[in-house]
Amino acid sequence: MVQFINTLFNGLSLSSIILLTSLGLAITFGLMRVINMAHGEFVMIGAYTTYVVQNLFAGIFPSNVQWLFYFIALPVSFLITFLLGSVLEKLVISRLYGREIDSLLATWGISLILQQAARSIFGTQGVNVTAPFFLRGGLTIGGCTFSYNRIFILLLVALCILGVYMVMYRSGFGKKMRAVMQNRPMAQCMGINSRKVDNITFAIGSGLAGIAGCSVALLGSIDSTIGQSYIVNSFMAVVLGGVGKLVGTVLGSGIIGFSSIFTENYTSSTIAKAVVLLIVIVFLQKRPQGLFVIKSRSLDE
Amino acid sequence: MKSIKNQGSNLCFGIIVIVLALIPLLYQCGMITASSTILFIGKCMSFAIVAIGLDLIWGYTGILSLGHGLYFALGGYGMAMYLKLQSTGGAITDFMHIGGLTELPLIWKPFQSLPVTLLMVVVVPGIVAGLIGYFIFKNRVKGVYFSIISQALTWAVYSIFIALSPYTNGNVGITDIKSVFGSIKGNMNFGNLMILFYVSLIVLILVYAGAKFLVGCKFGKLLIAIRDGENRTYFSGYQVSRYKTFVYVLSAILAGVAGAIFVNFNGCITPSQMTISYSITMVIWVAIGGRGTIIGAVIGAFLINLCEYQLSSGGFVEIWQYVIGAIFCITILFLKGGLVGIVKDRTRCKKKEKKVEGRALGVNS
Repeated sequence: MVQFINTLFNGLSLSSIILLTSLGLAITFGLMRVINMAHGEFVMIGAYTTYVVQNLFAGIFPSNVQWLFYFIALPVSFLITFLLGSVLEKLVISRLYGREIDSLLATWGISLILQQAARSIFGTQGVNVTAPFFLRGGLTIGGCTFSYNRIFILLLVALCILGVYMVMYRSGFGKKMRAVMQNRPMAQCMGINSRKVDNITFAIGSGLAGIAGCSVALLGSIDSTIGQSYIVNSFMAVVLGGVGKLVGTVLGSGIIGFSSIFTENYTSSTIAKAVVLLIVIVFLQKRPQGLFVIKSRSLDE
Repeated sequence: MKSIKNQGSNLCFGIIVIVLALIPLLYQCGMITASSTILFIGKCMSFAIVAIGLDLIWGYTGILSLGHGLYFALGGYGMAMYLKLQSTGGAITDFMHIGGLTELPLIWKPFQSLPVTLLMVVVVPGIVAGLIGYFIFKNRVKGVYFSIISQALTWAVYSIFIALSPYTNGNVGITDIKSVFGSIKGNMNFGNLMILFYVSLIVLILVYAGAKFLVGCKFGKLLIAIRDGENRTYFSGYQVSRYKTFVYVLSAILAGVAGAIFVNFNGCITPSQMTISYSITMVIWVAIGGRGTIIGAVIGAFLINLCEYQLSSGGFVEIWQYVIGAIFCITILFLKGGLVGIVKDRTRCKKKEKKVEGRALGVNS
């Protein structure tokens, strides 16, 4: 029983991490039809930002308020990746709307540059972020241990989903955003500045990657390849869930996360992840559009 | 006009072949001092072969595969297994000892003989690609979905390859192997290197000629039709998925052959040749050289690798990453035809070009 609950919690934790990295993708890929291969590098930038903020704090503030750095790092990571995303959209992505494959390749070029920049600045050795004191250790209930930082990430993911939901479905900007994504020419006719909406939407997606990076920094050392290790699973989660549906992404990440952990009980973790991906690929043969399909009559969806 | 264009690319390939053929001779005359240069050029030839395969599927058919490293490595591993068994005399290898195996695993057994190995190098990537392609294309998975799936597949196989280290030696890969024609290191073995080099060159020429022939006949026109209007091709009564599967298998086989040649020159194979980033590097060669032209793929593979070789050996490794990232990005954004596209635009008269472009836009919108 204890082991089962532990497995369940690990599954939930892994799902939440996959979800956090794929939430931004769900927006850029699902809504805008832009394949951002540099998304993983935005995660990396978020993680490095956390590291830099920590070091700045250590230099300026006394040690008893050190733990505050993390709460500064969260918005700072979001802001930095938000701005970078906005710039990237202006310079590169805006020229590639409607050319999905080209957007994939161009952003790969960007990700090569960003990775090398990280290596030039921070070196090839991994760096570490010390978690604030209240995130160390874990909560023990009846023999089951739930580590605080994983619980914290769960809460953070819930908060992010809530935020994205509020922005998309409960705000004026979200209304414009959905209008542009559903029918661009008509939205333009209604006086919506579609270029600006595109820009902000892409920036929000990138900003979410920054937050993901901030939480990933708690889990292990940070190096220039950290983004690459998350990106494959995230893309699969978005595709499995069905492109263009937030619910789908949540479910997709859940399926990949839980099944990875459950398979891990029988074999090593790398093989488990690989096997799960293979199963997902087989499943996508059955339903190429993913779990949730947006009904459309157009031929080339 | 068209014939001149075709002649131009063949002429260009002819020049490349002549230069390549002269390289071992130049070494003998002492014009090239390091024998590692010859090994490197040999590797470039294998890269050119895989680039041709990738160009057939991406440049002509419009299917972007981010997983050709998988087939490249499958061919490479097949060859490496044979060569490793040659050097151990058919006995089990040291990493199998460490992994706890006492006798040669079943999957290694076929690689004891050369003809079977050469067959496997072609057949294994072909069958894997055939299975994947058949199901994926039959279910009409296309565009970026195919790219993402091929990427996930490569990653999954890569992880499994590393995890099965008693059979594959994990991260280290298969090392310490000679070429098919015996050792190619050192001056006294120069004859072996020459044979290997010219055999590879002949393979490259054959692959180029074959690809050129395929593209030139009706089949090539169909590939382009699939790229530019898949549904219209369906409506015209063609089984698009069959054509796609065929060209996918073909390019996988070319990648396998390229991998086998690569191992001979490189002297080892590691799982890093199977990674996603390595696969996308191959796409970069084709994109910069010029997609949709066979010669573009060849030029791209040689040019990019030569530049990388020059810069990396000169201590410019850091700068190289920035340069290649930026060039790739700019090529995708502004130069759809790559280097060959630039040359083509120059030679064509501008008026005609504008007319064609205008009409194409009209169809799209």
